[in-house]
Amino acid sequence: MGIQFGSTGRAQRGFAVGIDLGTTNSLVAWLGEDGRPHVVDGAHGPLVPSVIAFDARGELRAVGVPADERVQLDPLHTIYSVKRLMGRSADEVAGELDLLPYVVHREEGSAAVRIEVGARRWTPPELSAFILRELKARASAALGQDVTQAVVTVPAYFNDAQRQATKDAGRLAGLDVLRIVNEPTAAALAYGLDRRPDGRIAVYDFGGGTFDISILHMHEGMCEVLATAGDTRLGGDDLDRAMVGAVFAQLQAAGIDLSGHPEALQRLRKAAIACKWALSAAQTATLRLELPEFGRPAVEIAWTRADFEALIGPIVARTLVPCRQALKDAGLRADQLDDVVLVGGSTRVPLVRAKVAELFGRAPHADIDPDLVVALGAAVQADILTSGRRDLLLLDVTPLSLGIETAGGGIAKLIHRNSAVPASQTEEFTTSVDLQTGVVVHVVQGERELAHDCRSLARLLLPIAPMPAGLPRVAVTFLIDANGILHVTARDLRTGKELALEVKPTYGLREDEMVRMLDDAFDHAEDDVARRLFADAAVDADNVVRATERAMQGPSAAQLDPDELDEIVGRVASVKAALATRQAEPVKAAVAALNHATFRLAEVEMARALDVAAHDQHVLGDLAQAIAPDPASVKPKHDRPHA
Amino acid sequence: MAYSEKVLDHYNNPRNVGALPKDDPTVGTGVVGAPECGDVMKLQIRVNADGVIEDARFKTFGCGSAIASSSLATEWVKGKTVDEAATIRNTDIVQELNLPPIKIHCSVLAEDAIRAALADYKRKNAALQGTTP
Amino acid sequence: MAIAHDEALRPCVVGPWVLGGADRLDWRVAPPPGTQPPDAFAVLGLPRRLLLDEDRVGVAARGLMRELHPDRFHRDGPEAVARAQWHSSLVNDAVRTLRGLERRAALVVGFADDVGRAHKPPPALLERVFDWNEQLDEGDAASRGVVAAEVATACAAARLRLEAGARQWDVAQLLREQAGSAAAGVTVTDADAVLLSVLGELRYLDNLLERLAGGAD
Repeated sequence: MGIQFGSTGRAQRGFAVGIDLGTTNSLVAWLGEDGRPHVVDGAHGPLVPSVIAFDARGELRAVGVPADERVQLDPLHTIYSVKRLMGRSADEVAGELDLLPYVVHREEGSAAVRIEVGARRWTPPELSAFILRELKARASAALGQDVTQAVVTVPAYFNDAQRQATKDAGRLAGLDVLRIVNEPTAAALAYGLDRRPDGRIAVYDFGGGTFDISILHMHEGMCEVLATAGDTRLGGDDLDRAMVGAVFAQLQAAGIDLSGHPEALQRLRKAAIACKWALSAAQTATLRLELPEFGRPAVEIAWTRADFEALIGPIVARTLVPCRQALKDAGLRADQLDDVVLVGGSTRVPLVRAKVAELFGRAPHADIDPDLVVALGAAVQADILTSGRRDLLLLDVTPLSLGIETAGGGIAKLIHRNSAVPASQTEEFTTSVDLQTGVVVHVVQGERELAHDCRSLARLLLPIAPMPAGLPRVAVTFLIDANGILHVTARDLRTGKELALEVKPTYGLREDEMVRMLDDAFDHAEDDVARRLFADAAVDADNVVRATERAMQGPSAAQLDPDELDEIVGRVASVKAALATRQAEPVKAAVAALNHATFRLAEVEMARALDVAAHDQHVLGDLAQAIAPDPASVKPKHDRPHA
Repeated sequence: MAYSEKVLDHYNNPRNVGALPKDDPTVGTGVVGAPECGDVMKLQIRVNADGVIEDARFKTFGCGSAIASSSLATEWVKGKTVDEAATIRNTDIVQELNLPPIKIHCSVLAEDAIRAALADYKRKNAALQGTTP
Repeated sequence: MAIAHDEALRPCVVGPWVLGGADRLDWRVAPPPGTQPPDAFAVLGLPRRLLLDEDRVGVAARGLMRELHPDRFHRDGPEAVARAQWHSSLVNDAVRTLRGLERRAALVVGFADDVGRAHKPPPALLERVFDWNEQLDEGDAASRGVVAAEVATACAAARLRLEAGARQWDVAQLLREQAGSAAAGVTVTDADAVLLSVLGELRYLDNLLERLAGGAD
C-alpha cells in the first residue's frame, strides 16, 4: 500500500492542516486545542503571495512576499497566477497569456503546458508545489512539528484534471493530501462552525482567478451542497487587467507605449491593484506610475469609483449568470435563501457587493474575513478527517457532468452535474466487429453537446479477448469520489475477472514524470530544509545583534568595563561573519557566544528597565491623585454635563 | 477514436431528409419511437413497378446517432428490392457507424423504421398485387 | 467498525473490493464493477411504495451519510475509505433514483432496462409526437402556442394517469408483500402495464416541453 495513514488519535491532530492554494495568495490554517481554526502567521501576515521567483539561470530565489517584490524587477523569471494554468491545455490558456509575462510552452506529446524559466521547464503542479512547500514549512515551524498531511481547497468549478493537478502538487511538496475540498464549501464549514445555522445559504466566492457560487443546506452540522456553478477563468485578475488595459490605452494615446517594457507593465499592474483597493475605500484615488524607461517624471491618473465601476461592470455581471444557474439547479428562488456569504478578496469591491445584494435581494453577510475563511474551513475539515469528530460533515456535489464520447463526437452523460458525490455509474460495453481486441472509451467532462467542446479527461483502453462481435461483455464503473476525482474500473462479465485498464490521462502527469519530479523534489527538499534553518538562525541573529547595538548606544553600556565592551564588539563582528557563510550552524554558535558575552549588559538593561517601570508607575500614581483627589467626583470624560 | 469521413458525414450532412406523399400507394411510411430516450423517427420508401426501392426519405427528432442511423438506412435501402431491404440488420448499422453500446438502440430504431415502412407498403399493395409474401 | 455499516446496507450486493495502491492509482480505485446496482428502496431502508413521502428520502439519506460518508473512515485507512466511497455512492444514487414519482415508477417497472426497450409506443402517439415536432420546426409563433397548449393538456392527463397507476401499483405491491415473498416475482400486473405506457408517453412529452422551453432546437 502506498500511503500509510499512521496511528490514529489526538497525537496526530497537529499534523493535518488546511491549505487555501489561491491564485493571488495562499495560506495555511490549523485547528487549535481550543477547537477553533487559526491561520498561521508569518512576518508579513498570514497571506503568502502565490509567487515564485527564480534567477536568470532558473534557480529558485524566493517564494511569497520576497518573490512578489521581484515581479516588477524580473518579470520573466517571476511566476504568479500558476493556478490559472493548473490542469489546463495550451489552447485553453492562450487567451489569458497576455496577463502573464513569463514564457508558457506547449508540451510535446501532451496537452499540458510547461513554464519556461531559465534553462528549465516546469509543470504547473511543480510550481504550485513550491508554494505548498513554503506553507508546509511555515506550519511546521509554527506548530513545532513536521506537517505532512493537508486538506487543500480548489474552486468548486475545477474539473477532474485541475483537481488531480492540485493533488499532484501536494504530493510533490511532500504532503499527503487527505482531501480536496471545494472553496465555497470550506467557507460554509467555517461559517457553520460558529453559527450552527439551520437553513439555506449561498456562498459567493470571487477570488483572484476564479469565481464560484454554491448553494448549501445547513442542517444539524451537515453542510449539504445543493448546487454549484462557476467560471474558472474569471477573477480579481480580470478587474486588474481591465484597469491595466484602460491605462495602457490612455498612455498610448499620450505617446507612451508600454508594450515591449515588461517591467513597466508589471509596475502598472501593481499600481492598478493598489488603485483598485483604494477605490474600495474611497470615491477617488490616484494611480501613480513611475516611468524611468521613458526618461520622464511619474504619471498620475485620477480615478473615480464611478469610472472604475463602469469599467468592471461587465465583468461583475458575468458572475451573476452562474448565480442564477445555481439557484435554478438547486430548485430555489433567491428569496428562499436565509443568508448570503461573501468569500474571496474581490468581494471587497463595493460594486460586487451591490450586485450580489441586488441579485439575492438581501445584504450579504460580510463580517468574516473573505481572505481567511476558506483556509479556516479547510483546517476544520482536516480536523474532521483526523480527529474522528462527528458533529460536522460536508456533503458536496460534482460541478460538471461526466460523459463518454459517442460516435459522431456526441456525448452520453453518465453522471450529471450537481450530483451528490461520491457518485457512481456502471456501463456495459461490447465489440462491433469480430475478433476485436479492444474498446477505447473517451471520458469527458462538461455540459456541452459535443465531445470536443468538453474537457477531455482520459482515454481508457479496454482489453478484450477476441470473440465474435457483440459477445464480449465488459462492465466499466465510473466513480466520482468525495474529492470530485474520477476512478474507473472494468470487469469482464463473462469471466468475472477484473480487467487491467490502461488509462491515458489527457492533461495529467504520467507516472514516470511524477517519479522524476518526486526525485527532484526530494533533492530540493534537503536544500529547502537547510535554507529554512539558515533563515531562522539569521532572523534570530539579526534580533540579537540589533538589541545589542541599541543597548551599547544607551546608558547601560557605561556601567560595563572596557574588556566587556571589547568582547561584545568582537562577538557582534563574528556573528556578522557567520551570516556570510549562509550556514545555520556557525550562525547559531556565534549567536550563542554573543548571548553569553552580553549576559552582564542584559542584566544592567533589565535592572534599568525595571527601574524605569517603577518610576513610571510612581509618576502615574501621582498623576492619578492629582486629577482625581476624590474618587466620588470621578466621572467619564465624555459624560454629558449635568443639567 | 477516429471515424471515417464517410461516417462523420452522416452526422454532419444527413442524406435524404424530407417527406414523400403519405397517401401515394407506391409509398410506404414507418413512424417508430424509442421511449427510453424519447426519439421519434419517420422513414418513407417509394417502390417502383419492379419492386425496387427507388427513393427514400426520413425525418428524425432525436440525438445525432439516431439521425445518422436513419440517414444511413435511407442510403442503404435505395436500389434494393423490398425483400433485400428487409434483411438489413441493426448490427450492420452499429458496425458502419461505430455506435457505442449506449447508442445501439438508435440502430434498432432505424431497423424498426425500415420494417415498418416495408409493412406499410405491403399492406397498401396487398389488395392490388396480392402476391407478395 | 464495519459491522454496523454493512448491516445498514445489507440488501446490497457488494462484491470483492479492489483497491489501488499508491496515490496515483486513483483511476484504479473503484467499486466492484458488474455487481448489480442494489435496489434504491432497500438502500435507504424505505418501503417499496410509489406514493412515498419524499421528505423521507432526504431524512433517510442524511442519516445514512452520517454513518457511511468516506470522511468518517479516514482514520481507518485507505481501504475503509475506498469502501465508504462505494457505499455512500449507493446512497446518493438511490436518492437520485427515488426523487420524483416518474423516476420511482421507471425503477419499479424496469423502464431503463429491457422492459423499457421492448415497449413499443402506440403508433397514434408517435404520429402525434411527430406532428407536434414538425409544427415546432415549421410553424409560426401562433402554431407554437397551439402546440404548447396541446402538450400541456396531454402532460396533465398523463400525470393523472401516472398517479392513478401508482396508487394501483402500491395496492398490488402491498398485496404481494402480504402474500409473502413467493408471490413477489416479476409478473407484469395491470398496474405495471399502465405505468409503462404512461412513462413512454411522458418521455416524449418531456422532450417536447424542453423544446418549448427553448432548450433543444
